[in-house]
Amino acid sequence: MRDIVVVGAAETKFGKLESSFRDIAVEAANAAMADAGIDRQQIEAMYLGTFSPGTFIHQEHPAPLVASMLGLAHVPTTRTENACASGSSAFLQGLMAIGSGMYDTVLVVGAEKMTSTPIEETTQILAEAADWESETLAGATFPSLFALMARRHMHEFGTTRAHLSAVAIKNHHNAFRNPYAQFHREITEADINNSAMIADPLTLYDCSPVTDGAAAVVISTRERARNLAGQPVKVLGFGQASDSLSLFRREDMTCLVSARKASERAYKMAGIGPSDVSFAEVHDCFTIAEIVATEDLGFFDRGQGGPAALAGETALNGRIPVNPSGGLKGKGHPVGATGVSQVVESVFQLRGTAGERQVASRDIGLTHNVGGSGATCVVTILGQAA
Amino acid sequence: MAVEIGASLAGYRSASGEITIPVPGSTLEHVPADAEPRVFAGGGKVLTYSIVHVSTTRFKDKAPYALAIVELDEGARLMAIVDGGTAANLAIDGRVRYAHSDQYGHHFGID
Repeated sequence: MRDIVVVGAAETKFGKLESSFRDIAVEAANAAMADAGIDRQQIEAMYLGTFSPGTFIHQEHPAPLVASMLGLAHVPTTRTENACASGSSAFLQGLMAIGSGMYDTVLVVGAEKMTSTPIEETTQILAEAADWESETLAGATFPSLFALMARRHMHEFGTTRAHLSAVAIKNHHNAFRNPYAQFHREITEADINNSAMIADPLTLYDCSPVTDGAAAVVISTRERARNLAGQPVKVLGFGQASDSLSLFRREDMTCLVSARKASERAYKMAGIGPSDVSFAEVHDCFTIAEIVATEDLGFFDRGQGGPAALAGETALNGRIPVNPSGGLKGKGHPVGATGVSQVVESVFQLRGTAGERQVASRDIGLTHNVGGSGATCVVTILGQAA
Repeated sequence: MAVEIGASLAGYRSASGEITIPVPGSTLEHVPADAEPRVFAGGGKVLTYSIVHVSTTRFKDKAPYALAIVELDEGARLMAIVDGGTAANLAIDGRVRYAHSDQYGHHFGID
């Protein structure tokens, strides 16, 4: 496989936006191409990660729509859908297209417009990414699926309310320093304890919000990037894995085997181990998900993710900063954009341009993007292009 | 052929070995030709649970309700509602027993 670099990266502000789906996708894509210093004529293909535009904004077949608005006449366009891992799945398609030699420069966009839909409908749309026939028809929602994992994690490992709260407090703290984030408010343990119960034991502050947003990256070869203005970041490794769509069919409900397998593959490709990672952007759709992720990725032993978060080991100045962007919890979770946004944040961190949320050690960044309750996981590892 | 639901908890084992206990109204009620029908006695234990306060539109009139992953004594698992279940009276490994099935899926009671 050829050496691959991310040479342009950008995103919109996340939150409740007035702009349309097409406008935010175009805004992020144009900004990424400008960051790369590339003209649109050099884009050979476009991949769009988006989860459910057909239900959120009644628009299926969105990839050629976005491409035509970008002036990418007649380039091949493909939309990827892998629930909340739709964005990272688009990124992987781009990596494989460049790595295989099929194309030299491609554009990857992730976008979702969610806030124009009533919340109960949104809950139902998201729940459709679970096993509709065996879980959603039986009463499951996404918060409840992660609540089921949290309850079991608490039972097996002694994970506590304070551990979950430490994740939410940290990610709001980081988001406060991120101008792209949906939330710019620090929160306290009292805020969490006094917030509405969503699916016991998860409260409102354990849950990522409903968000509009888009993110985009330009991927190219190392050779071509030498002639571009954008500061390149090297793709060191990537991996994807799947698991049963139904949580109840999994032997172990306190870890995501898909994340373990995807990260094993990514670490092997990069030739590194968990202790080599400088920082990580992980899929904290719920606070328990970040705790489980830090265990699945090998940063901490099983059952130690919660105590590590409480001890500050995953803070901006901790041993392994996790979600310096604020994560899905604080930055926001526009489903199809999230996986691409994790890459964008990693590029900012590796370049040293992340401002107030810049991590100190910036050799290697890892992204971890989960679809469903863990049926899909994509892990990528990025490093300095040197 | 369709699974009869109501009198007992019924399902089938597909050729791949997966046990399915179909929720009423789901397309999984149609039993594949090569599947073996199974009937379950109804006893089981709670593997994990949650009290759902914010539901989908379909379950709007039910919330809050207790959702559990139940492992039946025969080893099969399913997602189900535990009628009368609360954060105070539910426990992991607690015994439950199948009660009935309706448009909200399968219902168990605390045993």
